Amino acid sequence: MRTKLLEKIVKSSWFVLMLVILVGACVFAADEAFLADKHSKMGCKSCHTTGEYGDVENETCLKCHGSWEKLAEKTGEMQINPHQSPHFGMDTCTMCHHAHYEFENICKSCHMY
Amino acid sequence: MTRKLLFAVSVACILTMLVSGLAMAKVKVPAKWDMETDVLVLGFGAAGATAAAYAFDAGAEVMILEKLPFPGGNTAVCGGAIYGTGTPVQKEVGYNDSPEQFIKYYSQIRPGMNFPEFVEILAYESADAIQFVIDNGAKIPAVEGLPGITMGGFERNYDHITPAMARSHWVDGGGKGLFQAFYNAVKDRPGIKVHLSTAAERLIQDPATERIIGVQAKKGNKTLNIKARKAVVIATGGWSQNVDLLTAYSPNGNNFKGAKGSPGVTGDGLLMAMEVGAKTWALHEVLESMGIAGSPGTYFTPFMAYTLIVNNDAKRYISEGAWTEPISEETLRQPNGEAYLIFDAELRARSEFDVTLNTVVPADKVIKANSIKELAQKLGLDPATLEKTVAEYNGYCKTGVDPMGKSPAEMSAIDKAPFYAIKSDPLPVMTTGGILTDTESRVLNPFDEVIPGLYAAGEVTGGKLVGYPGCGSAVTEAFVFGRIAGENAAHESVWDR
Repeated sequence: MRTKLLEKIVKSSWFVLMLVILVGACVFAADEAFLADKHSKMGCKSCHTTGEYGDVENETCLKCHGSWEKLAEKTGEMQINPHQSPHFGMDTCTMCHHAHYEFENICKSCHMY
Repeated sequence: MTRKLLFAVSVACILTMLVSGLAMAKVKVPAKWDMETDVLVLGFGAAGATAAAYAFDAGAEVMILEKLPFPGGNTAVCGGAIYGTGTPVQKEVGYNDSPEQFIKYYSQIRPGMNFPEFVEILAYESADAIQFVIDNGAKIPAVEGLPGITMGGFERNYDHITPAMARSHWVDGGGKGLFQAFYNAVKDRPGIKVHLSTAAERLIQDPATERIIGVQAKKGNKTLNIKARKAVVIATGGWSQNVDLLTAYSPNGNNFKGAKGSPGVTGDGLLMAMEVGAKTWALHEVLESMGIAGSPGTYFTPFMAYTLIVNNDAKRYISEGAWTEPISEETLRQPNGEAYLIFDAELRARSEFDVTLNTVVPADKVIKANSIKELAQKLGLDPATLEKTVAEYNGYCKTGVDPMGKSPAEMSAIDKAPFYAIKSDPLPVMTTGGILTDTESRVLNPFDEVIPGLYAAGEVTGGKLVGYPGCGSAVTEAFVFGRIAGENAAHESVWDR
């Protein structure tokens, strides 16, 4: 009886461990999916329009994602609206929305909120 | 025997450490350079943009490295003033100013801390700085006020020495409008190569000639060795965002709970210059201003004089009509270094309050209550003491005589509910000491000898701005010495020929 219980525990802990690994792997994989991966079906040239690999212009993003004003509306609920910054130079999509590495909220490099 | 052996081993260890330490102090000259240019400018703020534009016009190939993903430095987040004398705007408003008067005034600000040679250059070239931003698209209306011109310093205090003149020229659109002009100057010269998100980390020095020949930089996790055939210009700004450097040099260094300004001003240029033996000047000098830690864009200057300021003991300690710098200094000496700005409904309705509170003060930082007692409770202050302090202050408002010396024009009783308070912190705005250069913007060593191939301009330098003569004086300094640095750097000989 006691051995059976022990076996059960061992089995279930294996199960839990496997589950943890699986979920962990999924989360990790999701983290690895950068903006470029999410756009991968469109092909490199949909963003790198000239065929040269460098910074992507705002217009390229806005062709699909609408106007700057519309984006500001979308994030209007935020205490500091990242799409409506009063500061100089905070108007480049790729500044926060990096295509090949993690998203970064540039506002937070100064503002705590 | 064992002791002797131990001694020998430890001596050997120390020697090895010393020798390797010396060898490690500087980045070795790379066998292969990743990029190259004539003049390499570090930092894309006002000084860097000016140096780049003038070096380019003098015929040099120019590259700017900026570690942040956006340009602007402290200029882009400042109030938007530029300081100058003898300008057409001054004349139109009715100020008959001159470089001679400017020198007389500037010399009163912390005498001995700013070099007369620098002050003279600033006096005669400040009008060019204002013309430069106007030529590059900035608008400065010929009126008294903001935008327009004001006495943005201590001009009235020295009226008995030289007539008080409005020299702070406020650009339409604040810091954003002001930096736009510097940015335009670079954008209009497409030959200037700009690398954002690229941080210069170490200078590369020729071990034989001691000339600065390039920079080691980081872009992402990639290390880049960039050759500067003519010179490197350090224009990386101050270090008000670097707690270690503030603590090392400033008496108030580790008392600050945050900082104002660009996140980029972490003293990178100062450290790089120190490594190659640059002379420094007045590193302890920090310009302070009242704000809220964690909200670097917050300021109270338009209305602070009308409030009642108390410390953690609910007691008044300074005339609120003083400038933000002495108020900050005094606040640092109060318990826990905090201040509470208190005002009432009547003051709240004034435009000075309304405009500032609606734009730069986070709404959740303004505490509101129906009585002084309730306000004290919400702030965690002693209610009885605060009530007493407010009653005393209201008494002074009635008589118009303040023992702290505040002007009656700035005194208004705090008696109309609701009552308001903002908890506020003294914060570093900029550092006014730094690398010492000669009048040609060449970086000097401790014996006042030139370090070849190295220039510096803007907030990273010292001996020009201690005591902060007035709003916009840092931007003028950045332009004037940025231009000298850029032109001289462009005229250097090419070292690798």
